[in-house]
Amino acid sequence: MTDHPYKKAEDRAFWSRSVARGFDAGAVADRPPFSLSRRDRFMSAGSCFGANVRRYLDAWGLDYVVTERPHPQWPESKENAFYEAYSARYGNVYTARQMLQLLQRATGEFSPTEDHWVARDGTFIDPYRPGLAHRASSLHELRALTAQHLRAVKQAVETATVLVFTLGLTEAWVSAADGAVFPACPGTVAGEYDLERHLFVNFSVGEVAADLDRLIRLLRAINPAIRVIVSVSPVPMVATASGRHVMVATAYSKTVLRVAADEFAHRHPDVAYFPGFEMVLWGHSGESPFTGDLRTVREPVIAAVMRGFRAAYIDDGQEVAGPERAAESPALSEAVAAAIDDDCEEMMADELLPVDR
Amino acid sequence: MAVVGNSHVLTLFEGYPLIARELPGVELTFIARGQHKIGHAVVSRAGVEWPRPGGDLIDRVGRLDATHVFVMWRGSQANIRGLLQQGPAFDVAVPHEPDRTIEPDVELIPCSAVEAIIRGTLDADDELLALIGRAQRGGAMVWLMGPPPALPEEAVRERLGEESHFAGRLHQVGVSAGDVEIVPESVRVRLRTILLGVYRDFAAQHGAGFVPPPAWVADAGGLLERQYWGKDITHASPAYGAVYLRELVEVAGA
Repeated sequence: MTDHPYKKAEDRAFWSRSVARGFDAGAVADRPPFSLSRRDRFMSAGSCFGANVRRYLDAWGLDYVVTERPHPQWPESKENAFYEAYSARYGNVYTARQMLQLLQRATGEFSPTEDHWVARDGTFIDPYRPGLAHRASSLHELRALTAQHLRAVKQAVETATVLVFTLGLTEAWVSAADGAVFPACPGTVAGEYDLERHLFVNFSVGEVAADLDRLIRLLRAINPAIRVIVSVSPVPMVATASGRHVMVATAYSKTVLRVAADEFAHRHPDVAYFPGFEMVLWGHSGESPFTGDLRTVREPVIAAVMRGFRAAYIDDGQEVAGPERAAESPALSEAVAAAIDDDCEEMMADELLPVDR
Repeated sequence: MAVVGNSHVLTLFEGYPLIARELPGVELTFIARGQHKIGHAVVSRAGVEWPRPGGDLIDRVGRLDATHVFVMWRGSQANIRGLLQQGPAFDVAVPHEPDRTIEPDVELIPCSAVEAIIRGTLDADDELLALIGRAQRGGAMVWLMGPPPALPEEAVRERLGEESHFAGRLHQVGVSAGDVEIVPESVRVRLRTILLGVYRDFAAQHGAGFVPPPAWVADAGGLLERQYWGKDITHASPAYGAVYLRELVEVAGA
């Protein structure tokens, strides 16, 4: 038998030795192009699954940057759970384009034409945060609250040394006027759908990759020291507007995001790809990684993924806390649990979509 | 007509003698819910019962033979939550100031959040709801009343130690009345504006009317005119009570 590359390959190169048995969550991620420590300051953004990041970083005692939180004098002014689950109240950011535009708005590079909706009760809705519990009473207030939020977003990027960004979807609804991406289809969570003004898009690999490249340039412009850990959410789509079966649409979306994320990481030395997607889908044996709805990732699976995250990037020799420890922060756990379960805009859309056939 | 409710009723009760001669033939009953030294006070042309501890306020209101019942209930929500500064400076944007510049270094609390907090104190108040219902079932037109305008900062500082709630708060944080940070006057005026709006909406939703204090008891900045300052932060003077009472009598007679 001749010599060949597989002969000297590590166990992690073989499915039988590293997945089918002997799975080690800490061995899945590639060697990162940078190392992190307990001195790093983390921020996170992305789809529902990304909301778990804060919960675990907090439980581990790491520095999670929060620049927008309830005022101590008015604690009841806190927002819906998934707006309080991240560094600022941007809620879930499902697409690369949405994240790019969030930063462009925070730096003043982009001002969406469709910047408000008026609800039937006369309140003013932020189309880019339609699930906010506390709506503005006037356009003046909406603009002031939005400006405040965008300052908090920029401050988070300025303060953080690491952004953990989880890509969730390729499908989005955009304004026909300027391509501004809405987190949910107008008319679902809030607003009114208008065939002329609201367009459906399904981003390609090239588009996602281009958006990610623009995103990293903008991040560096705000904070040259920031590094990015990009991942792909394993959570299937709630619904598709592509006309295809939701399973097929999900496969397309996740595949596009997975490829774009990998290429993104290879192009930039300050970007690492974290394989949470793979770890959820294949890094276990026996029962499904999802709960009964086949979408919600089970807590032990999340815990394993986050152990892998810590082992890959923040191996500080300390004992890795499990979900039990994470649950010691009940308010936050509740917020995040709600965020990843039923309260995000995508799920709101599912619940609010009328069945009209 | 009857003026019922909390300790603010005492202000109107004390203001009554100042305008009693203007009100010939007006039958007035004051009932203040028993708290602290106030007890239950009932004054009418037939005489004064004061103090009269015990008894159930709602039951008393039910037995009133009044065509108009004016209810002063709570009203200190904005003061309690928005008088002493905790944490970063904050502000609220009220709809009637659409051109006002909001400073970027001040945290803006959504107006609807403040409304919800104040509204929650009313919605959850079974006693208030029972009181309104009882008065309405008795055939009276019910009106909610509003608290007096905010005091200027100098007046607040002078009075901070006089009320047990605020004295307790100061003691808790270990700050003297002279050093504690007070929420800016303009913000306190806006908070009261929001509060009055909540009271107006709440009243309307419960088939009641709303009679705020006359606008002219406040200065151009919305603060309580000096002549109406009371002995503490929450309550205004008998002169204010007289002015407000006159307003109520006009509403009842209209």
